[in-house]
Parts: sequence; C-alpha cells; structure tokens
Amino acid sequence: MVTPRLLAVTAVVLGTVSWTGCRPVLVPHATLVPTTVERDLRLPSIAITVAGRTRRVHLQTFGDSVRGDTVRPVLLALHGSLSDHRMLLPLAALADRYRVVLWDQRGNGLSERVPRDEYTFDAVVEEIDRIADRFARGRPVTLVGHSFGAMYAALYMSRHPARVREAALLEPGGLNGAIMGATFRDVINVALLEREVARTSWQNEVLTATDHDALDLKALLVLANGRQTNYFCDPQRPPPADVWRPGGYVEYLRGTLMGNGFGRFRYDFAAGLDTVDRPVLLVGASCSALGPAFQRRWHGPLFRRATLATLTGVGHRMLTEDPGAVLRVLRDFLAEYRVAPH
Amino acid sequence: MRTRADTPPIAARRVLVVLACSLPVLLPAQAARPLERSDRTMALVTAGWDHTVVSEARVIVPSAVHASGHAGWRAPALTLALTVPWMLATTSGTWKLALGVEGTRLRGDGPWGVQLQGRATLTRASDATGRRYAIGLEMGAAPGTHRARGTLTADLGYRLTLATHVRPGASVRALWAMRPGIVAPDEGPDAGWHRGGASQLRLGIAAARIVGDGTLLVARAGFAHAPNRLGIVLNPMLGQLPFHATLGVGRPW
Repeated sequence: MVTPRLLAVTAVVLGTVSWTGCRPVLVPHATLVPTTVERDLRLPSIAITVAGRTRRVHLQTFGDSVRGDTVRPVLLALHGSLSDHRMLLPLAALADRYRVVLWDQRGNGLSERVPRDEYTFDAVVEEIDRIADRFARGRPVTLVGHSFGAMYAALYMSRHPARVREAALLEPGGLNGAIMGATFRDVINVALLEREVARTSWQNEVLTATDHDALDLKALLVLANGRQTNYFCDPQRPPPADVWRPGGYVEYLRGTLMGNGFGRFRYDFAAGLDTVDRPVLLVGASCSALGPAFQRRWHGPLFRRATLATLTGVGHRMLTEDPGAVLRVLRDFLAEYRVAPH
Repeated sequence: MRTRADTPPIAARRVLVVLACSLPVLLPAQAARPLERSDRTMALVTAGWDHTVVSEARVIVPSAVHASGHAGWRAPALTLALTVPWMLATTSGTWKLALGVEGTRLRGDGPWGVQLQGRATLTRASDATGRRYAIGLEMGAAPGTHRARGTLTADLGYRLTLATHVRPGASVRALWAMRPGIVAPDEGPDAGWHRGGASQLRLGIAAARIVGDGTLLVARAGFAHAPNRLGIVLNPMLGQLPFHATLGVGRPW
C-alpha cells in the first residue's frame, strides 16, 4: 500500500518537475534547423512583394546577364515540395548559355516563412512573375521545374503563356485534380502503421510542430522515409534529400489548397495548356511512379508540343542521383543549346 | 435593503464561485465506492491509437488512505506506466515512462464524482533527425459516474511537454552545409533544451467495468488536439491525427 506520505512526496516531485520546466534555466537552447534569410543577413537574398507583403527570398544567380552584345536568356528553376534550391544546384551548369536563377520559394528553404493568407496558387504565380520581372525584364523566360516545381511551372505557363519561352518539367505530379485523384494511391503510400510513419507520429510526444523550426525539423522525417512515396529504386535506402530546410508549413497549406481530403482534389494547373504553342519537355525517371509511363499517359495529352525524355536507373531525386543525365536531356531540349554559342 | 457591507468583495465572490463549482469534487463521499481495484494493486495493459499504435503497461498501487477508512479521497493511488509504440518496440528505444497519482472524489452518497490524475513523464524518441528526451506533465479529469463495478465518465486531459532535450542527427547537421555566402565550417545545430515542445488537449469519453473475479476492462476514445501557433495542422505526416482510442484489461493481485 502507498502511504499518504508517499503520495505527498510524489505530488512534490510532480510540482518540482513542473516548476523546473517552466523556469528559464534550461540552457543552451537547441538549434533545430538553419535560420532563414531575414535572420541571417549573410545569405544572398532579394525582397519581393507578393500578396501585398514584402518578403525576402533566398536566391542565387549563375551566369552573366549579358554576354558580348547579347542579353542572356533567363532560366528560372523551381524546386519541389519539402525542398529548396540546393537540390537544383546542378542546374548552375546551364549558366554557359543561360542566366540561371535559383531561389527558395517563399516559405521554403532559407526564404522567409509566410502565413496562411499569403500562400495561394495565385500568390505562387505572382511570385514567379516577380522573379521573372526582376531578371528577364519582360522577355520570355525558360522554366525548369522539378516535382511540385514542375507543376508550378505548368501553372505559370497556363496563366502567362506569352511570358514563357520553353519549359522542362521534371516529373510533375498530377497537373489537375482529376489526374491527382486517379493516381494518388499509385504515387503516395498512406500507411499509418508503417515504421517510419510511426517515428514521425511519435515525434508529437516530444516536439509538436508548434513553430516553423519544429515543423521543418519534422518535415525532414518525411523526406527520410523512402517508402512513403513510390519514387525510388530502393525505398529502403532513398538517395539523400539535398535540402537546406524543408518548408513544412507551406507543404501543409498546399495540401489544403489542393483539397487533399479523401481523394478529392480541386485544382487545375493545366487549363488551356493544350493551346499554348511552346515547346515542353516532360522528363520521367524509370524507378519513379511519376516516371515516363505516368508522364506519357497523363500529361502528354495536356500539351500541344510536348516531348518525353526517360532517365533510366534513377528515381524522383534525379538531380541528386544522376545530375549529368538530367543535364544531358535538358541540353538536348533547351533552345540555346540548339544554336551556335554566342 | 442590502448595504454595502452585505455585498461580498470581488475576491471573496470569486472564491465562492470556485468553491461552488468545485462542490462535486470536494464533497466527501459517504457510501459510494469507486472501482474495487481501489483496494488492491492492479496491473493494467492497454492498446490503441495515441499518435500511433501504442501499448501501455501500468501498475496502480492503491493508497492506504482509503483502506484505513479515511474520509475524503477514494481510491488514491500511485501509478507507474510504460508506453511503447508497436512499430518501434524492437528497433529504436522509443518509449514513455510515467509516474503519477490518481484519485476519485465522489459527491455525497451518489455515484457522481470525478477522478483526477497527474503524471510526470519522461519520453524518448529516436529517428533520422536525432535523439530527443522530453520531460512533461499529463493531467486528466474524468467527471461522471463512479460505481463499485464500473465507471462511465467524460475524459478530459492535457499533456504538456515542459522541455525537450534535442541531440541532432547527421541529417540535421547536413542542413548547414553548402549555404551560399557562409564560410563557417563550425556552424551547425546545437544539442540542448527546447522549451515547451509539445502539448495536447483531449476530450472524450471513458468507461471501465469490473467483470468476473475482478478483471477490469477499460475503454477510452475521443478527440485530441495539439495547440499550435501555426493553426490546426491535421496533416498526418506534419501534424497529428485528431483522435485517440484505447482498450485495456487489468488484473488485481
């Protein structure tokens, strides 16, 4: 039997633990993820105004804006979800023909975080427009997008076809809700009883995603789980996700905007693309559920001038797995590589 | 006619309101007796969904307060519990250890009352992003009917992680590499304490029943909400699924 004294001692222990936890004596504070540009001024960044708010985005350019008498065409590269432009750095090799602009989209990577009211698909289009305005100054841009970045590239082209010269889409997911709904379970594994998912869920016991730092740390767990998506040649050992900091909150917001509940998706990034007379390259990786068969079946018919390139022996993180192969198919497609060098 | 002196000051009125609201808790019980397990040490095993699929093994050691016939609290007890997620039981040293007290206040002779419990917890998590230990508190209240052979109550709870010690893993350290414009090879994540790491509010129902020779069956289910400065994040990967549900069985000895 427990005596009243033991109960009292236990109560005192509980109180002490509570009091200690609430006092600012727990130093040093843990650093969970790298800081973003507005707090680390050493990082290269620019300010852009989107959805009525000015935010700083982490951005790098590669290649001269002018070579000789010629103004270099601008290539904008868009990273995918839970990612940033670190994964796109191999595209800097295209700076021999293009002025390559890589940036972390708002809320992602080392760019400033944004609240719910600043993140809509209209705002995403506006953000790409602000970047294009800044560097291309009215001239059409070349778009290279990976994964969700490829979906946003298609969205931008559907809204502003005249501002796009050409587009290379590296494994975009379903470009409208119908395609996403039809293919979701082929691409995403919703397995709440899977071990890696259990690790992610258990993190709620120790570190709820109460702020962006904790949420982005938790998003790293999603990236580390190779079996959550049918993207990889070896799901047990997925290639590393080259990222500075995943943007967990915009990933969540994006899901709500798409309407990801119970297989019903409501968005259309492909409206009118079949009338756009611009060359489009669809790239699929042989190990990925978003690979060549997916792109041919679902996305090929959406475009007026689409060609398909297949990468063999790699998965969705193709720019990490085989950047040379990606650059080869891009150089075969991009207009500046099909003319004599300036 | 009331005079100024007849009107209780505001502070006194607040005390009266608090006391009135606490009557169901504070009134000493006369005849009713909560679950028979209050007299004997109980081993309880539960399983169900609580963030993920988990099992909890709990030992409930009753207090001498009730057995010796003291008035007031019924079934005060010390509890010790170990919770383990099923999918991680054999792989990663992931668990939660809880030490706490619980007891039931009954209202008068009837079955109405409230069971209160408080637990201090130590939780460990280990995954690709590192290793974390969290110290926290769990508080619960179960107002409803408390009879000798069974209970049917609301299930209110609040979990609060007071501080979490974070030791970053290799995948977190890699985030600091190759940042443009920064030549600082020593920069990286710091191991240390993260304050107020997690919390959860619960609202549900709970039931318990003594069957046969003293076997205790328990069930609880309800909503679970993680207060979050970013708003409600229901995404199962990035947030939490907003419910919990467990079943359990206990044996006295």
